[in-house]
Amino acid sequence: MQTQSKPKVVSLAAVVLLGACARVENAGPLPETRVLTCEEALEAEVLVSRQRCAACHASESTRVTPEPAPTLDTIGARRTPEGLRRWLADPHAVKPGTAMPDLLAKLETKERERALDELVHYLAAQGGPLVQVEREAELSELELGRRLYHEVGCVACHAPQEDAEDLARPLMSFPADERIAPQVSADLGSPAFDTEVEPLARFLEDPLAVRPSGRMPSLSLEGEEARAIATYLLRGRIGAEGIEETPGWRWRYYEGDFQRATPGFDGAKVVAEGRLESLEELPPHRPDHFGFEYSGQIHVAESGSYTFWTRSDDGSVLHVDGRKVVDNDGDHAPLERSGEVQLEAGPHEITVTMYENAGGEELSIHWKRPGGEKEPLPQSFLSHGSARMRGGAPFTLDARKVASGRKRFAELGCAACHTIEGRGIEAPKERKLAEIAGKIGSGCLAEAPRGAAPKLALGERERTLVRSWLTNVNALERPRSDKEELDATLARLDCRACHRRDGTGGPAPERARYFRETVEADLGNEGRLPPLLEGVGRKLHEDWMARVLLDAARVRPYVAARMPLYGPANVSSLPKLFASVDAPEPSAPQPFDPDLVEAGRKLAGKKGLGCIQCHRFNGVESLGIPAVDLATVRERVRGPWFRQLLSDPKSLGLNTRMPEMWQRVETANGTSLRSPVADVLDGDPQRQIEALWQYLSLGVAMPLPDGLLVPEREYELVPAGEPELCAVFLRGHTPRGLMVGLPEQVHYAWDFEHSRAVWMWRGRFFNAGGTWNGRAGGLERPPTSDAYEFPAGGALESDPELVPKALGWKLDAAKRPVFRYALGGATVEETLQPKLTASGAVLVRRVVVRSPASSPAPVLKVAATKKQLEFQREGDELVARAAWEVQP
Amino acid sequence: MLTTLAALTLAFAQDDSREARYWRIETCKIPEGIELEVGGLLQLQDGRVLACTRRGEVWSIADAFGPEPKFVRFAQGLHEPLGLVERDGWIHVTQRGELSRMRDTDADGRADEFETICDAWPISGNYHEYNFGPALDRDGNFWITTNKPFGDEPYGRAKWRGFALKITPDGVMTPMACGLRSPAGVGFSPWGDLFYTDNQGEWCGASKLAHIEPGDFHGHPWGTFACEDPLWKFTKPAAPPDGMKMPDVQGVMPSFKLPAVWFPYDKMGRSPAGFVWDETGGRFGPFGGQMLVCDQYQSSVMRVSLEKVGGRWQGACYPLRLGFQCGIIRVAWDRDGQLLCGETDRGWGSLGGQTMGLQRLVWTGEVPFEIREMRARPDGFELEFTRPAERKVASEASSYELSSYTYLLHETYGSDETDTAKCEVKSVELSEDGLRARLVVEPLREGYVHELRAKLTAADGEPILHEKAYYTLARRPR
Repeated sequence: MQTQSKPKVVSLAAVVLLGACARVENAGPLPETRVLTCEEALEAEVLVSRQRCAACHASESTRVTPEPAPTLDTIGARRTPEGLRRWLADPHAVKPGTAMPDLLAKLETKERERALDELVHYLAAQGGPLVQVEREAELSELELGRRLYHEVGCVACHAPQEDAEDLARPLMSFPADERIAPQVSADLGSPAFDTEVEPLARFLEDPLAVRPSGRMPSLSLEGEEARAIATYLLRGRIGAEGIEETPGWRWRYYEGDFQRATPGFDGAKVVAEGRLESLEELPPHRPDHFGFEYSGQIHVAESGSYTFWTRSDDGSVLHVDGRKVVDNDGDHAPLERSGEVQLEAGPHEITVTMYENAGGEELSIHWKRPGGEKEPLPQSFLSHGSARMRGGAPFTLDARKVASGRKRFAELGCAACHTIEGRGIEAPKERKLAEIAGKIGSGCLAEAPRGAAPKLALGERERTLVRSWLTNVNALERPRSDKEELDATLARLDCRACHRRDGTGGPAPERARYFRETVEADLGNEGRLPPLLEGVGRKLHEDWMARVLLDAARVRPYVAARMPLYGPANVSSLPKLFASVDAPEPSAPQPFDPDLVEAGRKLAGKKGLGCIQCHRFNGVESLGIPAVDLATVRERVRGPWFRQLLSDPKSLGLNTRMPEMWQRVETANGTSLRSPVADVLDGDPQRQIEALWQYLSLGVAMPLPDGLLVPEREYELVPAGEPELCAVFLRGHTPRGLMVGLPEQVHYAWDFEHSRAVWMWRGRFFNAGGTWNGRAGGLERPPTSDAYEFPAGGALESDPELVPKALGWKLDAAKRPVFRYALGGATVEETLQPKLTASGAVLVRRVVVRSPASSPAPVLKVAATKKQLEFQREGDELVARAAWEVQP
Repeated sequence: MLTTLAALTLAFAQDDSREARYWRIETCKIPEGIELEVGGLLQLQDGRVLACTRRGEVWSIADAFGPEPKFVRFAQGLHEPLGLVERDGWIHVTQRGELSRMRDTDADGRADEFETICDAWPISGNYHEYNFGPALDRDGNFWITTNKPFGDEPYGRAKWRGFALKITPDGVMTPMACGLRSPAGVGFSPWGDLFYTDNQGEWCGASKLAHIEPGDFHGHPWGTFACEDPLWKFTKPAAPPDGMKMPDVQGVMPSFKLPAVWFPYDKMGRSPAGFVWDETGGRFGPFGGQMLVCDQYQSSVMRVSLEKVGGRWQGACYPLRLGFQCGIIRVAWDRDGQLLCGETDRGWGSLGGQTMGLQRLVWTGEVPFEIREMRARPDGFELEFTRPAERKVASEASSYELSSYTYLLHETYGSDETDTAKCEVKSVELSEDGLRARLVVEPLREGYVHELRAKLTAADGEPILHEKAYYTLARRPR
């Protein structure tokens, strides 16, 4: 500590300057003040900035520069008069903890009412008045808003509106009176009656335009998304009748020179809308350059696999529950495409978007239910939900009240913080901040302020903090260190609501549950939680950090939460501050060496360290999880940090699953790093790390590592000499499938689940990459579009319908499978054998059915020929045989 | 044999780790064109090794560690087979969709008959729906463990994921335990108890070895919706508390099963998989009766000792050998009592630089100075050494460091070590022969891993090979 003789406050400043601050001590025994720790002092300063104390109590110090208050230029267009009134009457009740002081509390009741009325008229006149009109909210909008609100990051700061587990269920699966969870939490104010969808959506799209402080950042919400969240947050206006279902589709019509069928056409204006029971004809439209979007709920009775087709001219896409199922996009003549989706029984959101560039136009939709046939999507399964949102009372501006409201606005001191009318109004100045230290017991920091002092929404702890801090105004003189400035910015913008740094922060467990992956990809917490900021200034180049903060540069598409944008005024100093505080080591670049690059490429690949197992490279998917694209390393990451990550990933404190590629091995001579790849750079770990660095430094110009892009032939199965068998998931049929390739170049797929042949085809057999490469699990089908699909059912028909049960298979002399299955009491052996004909090989299907002679022979027909099987007694069995050529 | 050694010298030349002096790693030379992504291993009596692969093939390998192993494709077309077991002349194999058996009826070295024993569990078509086993019980039943899916389930959500299933020889399936996550190893102990290994993740705070008993719930709620099916003969577990310390969970959920051994993340691998018990009668070294567990990330073999305390199994894990070429998913004994290690890291990545293969861990005949076993005592632990310890150091309390921690049961992926505290070693008593040290330790916490570091040397001056042991003290002996 410093010498004893100096005044304590001075000693504080000195201590802080030395960067060893332990406490902030105040000048004397003032009531309700105490010694503050450094963290508390910083908290107090952030509070003073936030409360904008220096807007009224002038101060030169940059430590307490008031945050810019919301601009009120267009407040009348953003808030209803009713909302303005409610807000001004008691801001602390509407939004607990707001920085807005209650300026009217000090007035007598009657005067207060008059002031309130006049201020409402004045503010409503700024672009207003905004009157809520009765409107319809689409169920699809509510669902989208509900999902986005809970996953893009709103709940890092604002209260969740529902339990995380409920979010997986569609609203319509809840009882009618529970669908619109009415509770909008207090920290959002009570928007339902205070604003309207469009202005709220515009605010969500660009909150910084009216709230430049950056406390409410932009989550890069686009048109449709912002409107959906706004509708969801205003759901309190939905009447008791709730969500009503109407049969058929809801459609919207757009005009424009569209090139893709993007949902909502990127926020294009809706030219017309309506309801439609069937899709037989497009609603009225101009000849060319238009788009339609159909939305509704599809009610499926049975859980299982559903296939959808769209046939369209030009492009179309079909989404179910927000997931793209059919991609039939782009300019084309009438073209049909399909996609498959797994649906649980119950309602699901379906949206079909189509556009027409020029020429003819059409749209039709088909589907196939589990076990069913392809058919036009029946309208009886479709409905769309919507809810009526109530309108508000009309409001007439009174010019006289507007004028006196303007006067009030100036007199009450509103103008000290808020700009209005595009510039601002002169406000009276109060005593300087530096002068009020001794009088903190009676003014705005008192529990019940006396006289003209405004009432602040501060709790007892906060008041004590500010009071204690004010007694040490000398500290104001001193400029902040970079560390303090960084901490103040992180605290002001509440970065730790999402990010951990210095061991604190990150979403609290109950909020962390809402953070999820955009795709379920086994990335663990790294896949769903915002990244830790431990040592981030050592890790990232300042340029890159600036691009993240200002240009929305992103490398983790799998994290559903979005990194917000706070505006240059609030965050452009952060890259420098992080760099200053985290003190990155100077990089010592080694001379570029093409041989090292090649060594690095080898190390990244399959026979090397296998970086491709987890990381994407230049947009090419990894073999496993979709971890960060390593082509971005060059522009993002600093060399010394990279070297530490590779040689000792755990030492960074980032909870990363990045493996220790070079193992620490105990030898008789102590510990050393050991490379698993001995034949690259003599297994020297340090040179290998340098090689990877030089290789990755090529960025998007990098040659790809081995094993990432697999040559077509790598997994190509070619039956030669004997059959090739490969077990697969068969697209649209069964997860228990077998591809059978015969050397005669006629092949088929077998379904063990239903004991039936599914497809047959000739020529090229099958590429197993989807089943064998990486984690795989692809849904497979023949490689040719003209494969013959066998009719539904198995080789044999029975009456009553018997369900076959797989018993296994044998191999015949030519190593071809003979499938065995039970059908009632009988056992069937089925083979599909090649037979050469003048036009190449065909398949002969052959069955041998055995049934115990002790019971009557089963009645079985060959499905293809409708011929009944005839049984002969053989020993104690009845045996029937049949063979027929498959006729595609 | 001489040629073998010559061929392998190159590979050993660089392995100067201290561990290599006691257990050396041999590598099977796999012919070009064969992709041996091992899913299951079986040593046949005639000397051949059978290896089933994730590509659905089964290879029989003669002279696997000789200069020119002979590979014959025994079978093909199986669906991600991850375990082999022989019984009654049939080779049993677990596939994604069924438990099957196969045999070679015409003695040409290749299977020609395949029978479905049980296909009573549906699958949804998700890549992560792996099945492990079968393990054979004394009554001839088969036991398999099932993985839960990640992501798309194109054929519909399937029941019995995250379960241990019992299947009778005639194919009747009974789900016996639930709440498993990624149960990559399953097997019966020599005394007939069933154990399985699980991988850290959501609802599995740390990788573990757990004893399976009928009706257990092991922590992961994903698959428990199936417990409403009448096939489940036990109580359906309630939703587990999210974010509670593991030892506290049993208080609110009696069916919740604490593991026998936790494998602390990164200290003892990341992805424990197959295991065997050392019943080699000393041919593999000084750890007879203990378990050997492989790790699919760390490319290592670890060791586990178990003891029964208060009616339940618990014990400790210890490092044994690092430095394999690839993550190991299966281990099996060969006819020489040495350890076959089947490898694949496809889709996950592992240490070691290779993506698949077959290796063998061979005891060199030298006995390292090690903690043979760490056992719980009412007031501390007893350590048994493989060789006499140097008396002075081993008698000092300061030569032993102990701390304890537990984990949270929560949906979040993995749990940090939670509630960590140092333990005080109050006293040490070394036995006359220097083979046992008795530690009095405070505090002992039930439901906590007790991590030991013993900075000892052998009486002959050789430093201990591995200082660390991790004892999961589910119960303190009374």
